[in-house]
Amino acid sequence: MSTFEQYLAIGVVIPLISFVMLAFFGHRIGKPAAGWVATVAIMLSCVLSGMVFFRWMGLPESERTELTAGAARYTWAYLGTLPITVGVKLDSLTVAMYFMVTFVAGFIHVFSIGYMAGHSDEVDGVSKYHRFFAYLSLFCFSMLGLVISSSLLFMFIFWELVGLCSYLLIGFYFDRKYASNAAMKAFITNRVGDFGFLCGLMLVVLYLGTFDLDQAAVTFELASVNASEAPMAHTSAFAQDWMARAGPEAASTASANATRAMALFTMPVGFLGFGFTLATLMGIGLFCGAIGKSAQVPLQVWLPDAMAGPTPVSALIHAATMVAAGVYLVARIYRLLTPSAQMFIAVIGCATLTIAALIAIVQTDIKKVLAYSTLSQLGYMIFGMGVGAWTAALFHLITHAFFKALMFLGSGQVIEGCHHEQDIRKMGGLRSKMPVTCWTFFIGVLAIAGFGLPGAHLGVGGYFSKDEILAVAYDRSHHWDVGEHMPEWMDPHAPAVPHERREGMRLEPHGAAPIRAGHGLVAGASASAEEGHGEDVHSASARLPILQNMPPLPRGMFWLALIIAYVTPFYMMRCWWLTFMGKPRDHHVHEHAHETPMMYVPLIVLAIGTFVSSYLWFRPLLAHVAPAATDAAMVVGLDGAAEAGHAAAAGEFINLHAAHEFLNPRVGWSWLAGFLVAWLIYRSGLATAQKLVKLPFVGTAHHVLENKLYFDHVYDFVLVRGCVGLAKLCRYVFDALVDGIVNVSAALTARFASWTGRQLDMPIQRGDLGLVDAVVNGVAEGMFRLGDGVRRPQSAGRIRVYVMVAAGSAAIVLLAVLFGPQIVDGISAWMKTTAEAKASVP
Amino acid sequence: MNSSTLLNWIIFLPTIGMVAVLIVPRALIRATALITALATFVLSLYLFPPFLQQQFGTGYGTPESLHFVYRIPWISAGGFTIDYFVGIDGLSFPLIVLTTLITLLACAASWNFDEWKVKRGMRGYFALFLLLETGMLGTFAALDFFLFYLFWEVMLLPMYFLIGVWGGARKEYAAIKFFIYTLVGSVLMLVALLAMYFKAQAAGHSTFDIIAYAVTPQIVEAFNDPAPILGFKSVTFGIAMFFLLYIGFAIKIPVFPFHTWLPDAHVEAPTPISMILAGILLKMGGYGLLRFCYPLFPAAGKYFAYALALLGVINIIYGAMCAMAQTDFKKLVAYSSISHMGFVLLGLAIMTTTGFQGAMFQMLAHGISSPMCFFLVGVIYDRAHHREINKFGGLWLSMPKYGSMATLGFFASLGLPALCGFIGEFWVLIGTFQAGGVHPEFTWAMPMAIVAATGVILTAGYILWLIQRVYLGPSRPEYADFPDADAREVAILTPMAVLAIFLGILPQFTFDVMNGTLDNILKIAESTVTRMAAL
Amino acid sequence: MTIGLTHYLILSAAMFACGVMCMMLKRNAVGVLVGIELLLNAANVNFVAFARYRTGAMDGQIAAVFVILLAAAEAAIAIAIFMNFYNNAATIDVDRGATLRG
Repeated sequence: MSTFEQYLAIGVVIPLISFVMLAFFGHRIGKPAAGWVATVAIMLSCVLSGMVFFRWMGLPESERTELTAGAARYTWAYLGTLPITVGVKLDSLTVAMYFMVTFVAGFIHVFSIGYMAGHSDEVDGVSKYHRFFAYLSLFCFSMLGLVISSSLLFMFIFWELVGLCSYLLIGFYFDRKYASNAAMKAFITNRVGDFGFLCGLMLVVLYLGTFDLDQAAVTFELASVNASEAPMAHTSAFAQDWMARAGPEAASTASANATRAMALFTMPVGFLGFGFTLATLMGIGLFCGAIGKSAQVPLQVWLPDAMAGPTPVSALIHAATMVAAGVYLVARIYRLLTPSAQMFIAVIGCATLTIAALIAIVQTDIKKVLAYSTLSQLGYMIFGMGVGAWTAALFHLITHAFFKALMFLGSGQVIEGCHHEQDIRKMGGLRSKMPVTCWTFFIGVLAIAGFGLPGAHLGVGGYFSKDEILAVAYDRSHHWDVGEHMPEWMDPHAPAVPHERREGMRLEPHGAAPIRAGHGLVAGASASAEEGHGEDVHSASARLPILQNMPPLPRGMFWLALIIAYVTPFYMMRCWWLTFMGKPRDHHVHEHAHETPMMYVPLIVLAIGTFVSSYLWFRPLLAHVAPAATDAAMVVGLDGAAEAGHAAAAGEFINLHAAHEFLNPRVGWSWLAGFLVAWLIYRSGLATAQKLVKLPFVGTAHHVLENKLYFDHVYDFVLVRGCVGLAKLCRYVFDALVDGIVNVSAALTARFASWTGRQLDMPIQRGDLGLVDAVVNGVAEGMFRLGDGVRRPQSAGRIRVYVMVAAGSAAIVLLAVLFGPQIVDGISAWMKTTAEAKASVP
Repeated sequence: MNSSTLLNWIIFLPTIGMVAVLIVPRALIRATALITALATFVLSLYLFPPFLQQQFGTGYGTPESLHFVYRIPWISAGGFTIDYFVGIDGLSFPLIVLTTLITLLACAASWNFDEWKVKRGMRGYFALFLLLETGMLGTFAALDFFLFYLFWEVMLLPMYFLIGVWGGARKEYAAIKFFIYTLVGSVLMLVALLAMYFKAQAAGHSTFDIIAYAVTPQIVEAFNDPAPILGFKSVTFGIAMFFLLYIGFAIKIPVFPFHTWLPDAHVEAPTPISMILAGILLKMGGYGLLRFCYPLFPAAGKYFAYALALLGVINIIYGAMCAMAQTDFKKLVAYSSISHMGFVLLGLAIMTTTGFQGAMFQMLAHGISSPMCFFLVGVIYDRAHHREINKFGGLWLSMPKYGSMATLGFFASLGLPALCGFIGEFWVLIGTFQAGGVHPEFTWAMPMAIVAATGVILTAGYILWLIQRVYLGPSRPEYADFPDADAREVAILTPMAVLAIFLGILPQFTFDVMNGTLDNILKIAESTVTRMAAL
Repeated sequence: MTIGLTHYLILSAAMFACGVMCMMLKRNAVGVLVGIELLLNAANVNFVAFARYRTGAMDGQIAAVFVILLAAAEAAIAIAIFMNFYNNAATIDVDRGATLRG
């Protein structure tokens, strides 16, 4: 275990220790001290991760690769005979994510001490201060564990644990019904996603025979090579490197598993007329986890509700870290995704970013605006993952974490300062009362809006990261017609790109042409199957076009993403302006407003972090590990291009250059446009907006958006009520039926015994319930009351009834033994003759 | 006491304790019972060494693979040979330790006997309680079918009285229902017992020895004879026996549609008895399947695999659905037991290493989480004297310690990773999914695993809904002055909480003490199948 | 016609059936007890008959003696219980003793 791994592992454990301390002794540690325990813990982790981060930055690439490959693996348990290993996935992505999480979390902890100093820690009048920080520590532990996991299973375990923390923290004010509802909704919605994740895991372990991310990726790649009947030499550098380092045993395991895993590519799965390969299904299954956690459509409904939690929680969990874990997961499983799966991801991301941005326009709760903007930005990230902008999506993740945490904390300051008023319509003019919050918040708004000066290489946050996603999407949609019109940059003779990187890209569809290269393996699987129908899979399976190209991105998706880049600055400006600028609309709120250093110092730190993260460190660090850059041919030309720095600066790749040429005039000033429109509408308060809403079409749209496109209504009606209804059906009808059959037979026996007893024996006590009546009643009482027969005292506990039951059962068994064979055989003979008779009829 | 009699001491110490309970003064009854349970638990810890050293031997039931064996002829008249034959392997060992532990905790949970609604007959209660422990331990330790049957029945009667006398409002109904159901199962088991004995006798070995049934070639051939019996066309001896035994054990697990006794029994039983019922008695079904059905009649196991797995899935989904619709706290937990035990059945049905491991782990995990849940219900019932979920609310505020423990317990039950419930479910689901690869004829395994996996959503649904209704929400005036969990209650909950976490974090420790035996069972099953196929 | 095993078995079955009917239909506890005696003796007849016609050894007779012994003991206990029950309930109608009281 190298020092790096040790530091990272210790950094994970420290918050856990803090959690244990706070959980057991928190009430003794007391109010401010408990918060400092948690803060010191995460700060220690942050220091450790900082040491790792900066040392890692200083290492040459070869040494990093060496360390990544040399990371220790320990066996945690055996699943059947399969060892489940655990270890630290040590690479640049881990290091960058880890640093970001600890840094942001550390300052959010500091902020929380300020936020919780008043009465915000009270649940129904009782202080739950230490519990809040205990949960935060547990969350930090789980989140960091998720980041360093080298195995999919451990990712899943920590995945659920962050879900638990999210549940506990959303429901922190559990005396309020909406908070506990929101917590429950979050957990269950996530479980729906995790169900898909679990199915994906099952496929992974069955076919790839491992939970280890690297081994799974290599096995997947080998299998795709096998399935395409290409020579083994065509595996990627990543796979070859892994095979060489992992030792003969692991290598042979991977090869053996790869043979079995060929089924992933050859087994067709038809669904509603669409053809899939199992490999695609596996990728989509794993991605379902991300749909849940990153709140993508159609599981986006929980995130806005999750704002019921304390605001620092919204900043940490529901903006910066946990919800971004879905993107992180996709980044980790990237090598297991087929083009179809990636297309699926892109579609989901595109839908999310559009829907969320539109809904954000009409929100009036400051936290809800931020929640929907988070959703929209997450949509961008997922969309970026789907279109192949691996680095850009993660870059956006990191910048977004800083600026969104910043804005959420700003809103926390506002909410705390205004005595838990969250409605921006009642705010306004807070600039004078909380200047630091106002201007740091504005930096966040600039960052999310993609503020920048095109051509000047000056900008912040989204200007770089979001635009890079758009650039790749542009390229995928406009210059991706492989084959006939091969763009210039794809020319195999162009010297700039290493030869082997490009070969995978110029394959003809349907694999009819000889397979020339193996470098598109991870990317290539079942494109043709996707386009066609179930039969195509069959016909293709004889010789699967495993090295298919990525299908081009539908242009509509690119344009949607581009248009939303105009909407984002609009709704953010609206939010900021209504909150801080203009005149105070509610004097009661305005009078109380104040800000405290404990809370605005983190804001300043995060504002600086927003700048720094946009320029330094993260982008090159991420580009360094991009699977796209090393293996998957489809993204090579695009994304790996920008290794040197920002995409805008990466001029040597014509396509990206072209993309930015195209984008700069179209989207470069989008922030200004959005700001202007928002300013025009809201500069003098709400009057203009109220007039606008009265317009016919706008009014309808407003109404639909206010109802969040009716997702919640539909889910509540179909899923929640359906499920509860089914549960009631099970309980009141089926279970009563099963129980009733037993009880009614017992009751009948009892009554029969009682009746015969009365006939043959002089009743000792007269006036007992009339037997015939009892039997009649018993039948008439209907199915719901069947069970009551035995419950009545006149039949319960009667010795004679037991004898009757026992004797009756014995008689039935005897009859069954005596005549059973004849009956069974008779039935089977009858069925046989019937079947034969049917068969003989032409 | 040396190692060969240790097991006898463990089994019969509670009986000795029972005698003591009957004669000591009333003031000492509880202490006597508790000390007995504690001593039994401590003794059972002495069983650990061979399993920690992983001495599982190479075959099923070979001398190296059985430990603490004690065997003497017991009844041998007119050709009958019934042995007193006890011994443990990796299959029974964890369950025995679980039994002694849960009994100890349940005994401590009975400490407030004087505050119960029915508080007469404390002497009888604790005497029966200890007799029940002997019955349970004997059932797990017995390796002679006749002895097994005997202990099985010994366990039945005390349970009947414990529910029927000290239970709730409809105790007679529940007790009788429990009794009749179990009795039907034991009658079928008795039929199987006799049939197997005579079959073995016909094969030249008149014995009730379960190990011999599984490994003696002549008996194996006779048991797995592919010829149909009794004039049926497709029913072989193995299938008939498997079926009879299965019904007996399925009632105990309980498997749909034999499950309706369980909610009634749980609702009416006093808290400690519910703990034992859920924690241990249900495990006997799974244990019986692993001890009898699979090693002895593996071919029949494959024949029934689809049906069993389907029933397992039905249990999972149906149990969860029924739990969701309950308004009685205890009934909800009872139905959740049904749902969780579905995973056991599913894991067994697929007959793979992973499946067996998962099923066995699930039994242990459920053996910890469900007594915990039942005790949690009991704690609140002691205070509120009702169990209507919708009338509760805000308990986490008035009882913070209890609320935290409850959250832990219910999340363990929910199958949250890093707690015990997750491992069993995950192993079973993955095992089921893999089964299609291990047994090519199990093509149904994959879809079934996916359907079963939807159970995780439903489970989250009903448990979170429960937590919300009972523990969350504003503090209610009628519960505001409830005292928090006292030292005794915390002491009972803590071991279960610790174990729930321990099993979830380090499952391999538990797997290590049982995997060897599970492998042996699977191997003997496979070799029997291949040998019969070769004949 | 020689008397064979079958005849004993028929006799036993008839006795058993009578015993079961008696247990089922009698509400008087003593009647139930009589029914039980009939059952046990039916089993005894089987024991002795099988021993006589099949094994030839004395196993069956020994078992029968045991059963008789047990039946006597059981009757003694049962009657004691009935006495107690009568004291409490002023009846020995088994249907009236339908509750387990703790």
